[in-house]
Amino acid sequence: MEVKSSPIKRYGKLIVIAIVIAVAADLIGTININIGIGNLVIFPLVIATIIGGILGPDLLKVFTESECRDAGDMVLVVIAPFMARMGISAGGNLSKLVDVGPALILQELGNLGTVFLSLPLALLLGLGLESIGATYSINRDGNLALSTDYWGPDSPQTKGTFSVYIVGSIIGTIFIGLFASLVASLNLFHPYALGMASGVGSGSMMAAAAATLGEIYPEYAEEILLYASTSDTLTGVDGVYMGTFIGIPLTTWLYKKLQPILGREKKQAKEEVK
Amino acid sequence: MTFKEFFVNRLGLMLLAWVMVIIGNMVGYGVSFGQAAAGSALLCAIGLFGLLLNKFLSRWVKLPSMIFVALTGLLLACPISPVRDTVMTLANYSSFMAPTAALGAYAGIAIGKDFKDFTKAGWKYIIITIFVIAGTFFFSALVAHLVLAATGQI
Repeated sequence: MEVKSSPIKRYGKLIVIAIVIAVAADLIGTININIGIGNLVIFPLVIATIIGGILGPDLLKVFTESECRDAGDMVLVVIAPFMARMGISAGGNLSKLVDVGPALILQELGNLGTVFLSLPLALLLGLGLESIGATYSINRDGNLALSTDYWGPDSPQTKGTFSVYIVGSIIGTIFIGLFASLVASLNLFHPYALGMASGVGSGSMMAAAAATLGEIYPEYAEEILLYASTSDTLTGVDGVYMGTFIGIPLTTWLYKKLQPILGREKKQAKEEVK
Repeated sequence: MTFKEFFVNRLGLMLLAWVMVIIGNMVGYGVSFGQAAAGSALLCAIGLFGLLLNKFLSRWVKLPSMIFVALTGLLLACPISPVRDTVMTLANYSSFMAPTAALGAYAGIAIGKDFKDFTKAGWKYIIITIFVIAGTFFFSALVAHLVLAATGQI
């Protein structure tokens, strides 16, 4: 990267257009679309992503490929203050987590269980390295930052994370509400356990799941909400570290094992994975 | 890139990010200029510090720089931090979601190279997202239930 050539010249257009897109998206605001069973939610981030994507070399060609790569650099820098904010919330919440019991702590590891279900599925659907990014976590904000940083903004893994992040932000709250009531109807788990499970690392998804469960078990509603929000806070605190030290290594390892069996391009697995 | 070049590059980009977070706060969340500028200055400073610390340490240890950013924020705001109150007050000035529209814009441009592939694979990601969320919920509930039962709480 040449630093000495004028950064204004290099990044100027990118920055001006990105600011325009961001302002437009913020002005449009969050869009809620009622589809009967709940609301589809479209956040300014998603609106901005779609506008940005349309302007790219694939469609309107406002940007060149090299400008796309510079935009990737910018992603990493813009995400840093966001991550700082998450870190500060985590620090602020530490005192609330003093007496969380063993169940709340261990269920955090349960968050990783999804890897064993979702990774094989992603491989069967024909995804390559994208499957690692898509399935190592529930792909909320912190994970998006982590993937971008860990694999780089234009890596296939980050593409996987980003896709699930976007889809999750649109359908996540509806789906987790429905799924929580489905699991509750199976009568397998105690309402407390379901409450703890609701804290997946996204405030809106947590609220949707906990509210649904509170209606199903009104006598436990208060505890459900308490466990859900504590678990959610816990995931917010540990998410980046769980992802870095357990989620990513575990998923990468499993990918190497399963890709030759389930993957579409069977031979590539070994050379591809770094 | 030498450390100095990296510093200059990241400092420049972070200043731009600062401007964007201020705009995001003002336009999207109705935060006043003064509060937005002060709050996001702290967040950007922590972000820059984390990126630089990671670059500096990368000779010895390879970790995602976001770890250092998150950890710096956590330490500054943790209960034993002497600057905890100031840090939390300043951080709260900046809306949590304020940087996200800018983030989306850049991320959209960055994936613009293969935007068509991206939309074509959409349905697969809908299925995967459903499984990822379902799996996370289900396995957490399973572990929580087993531990609660084992410790005699239910």
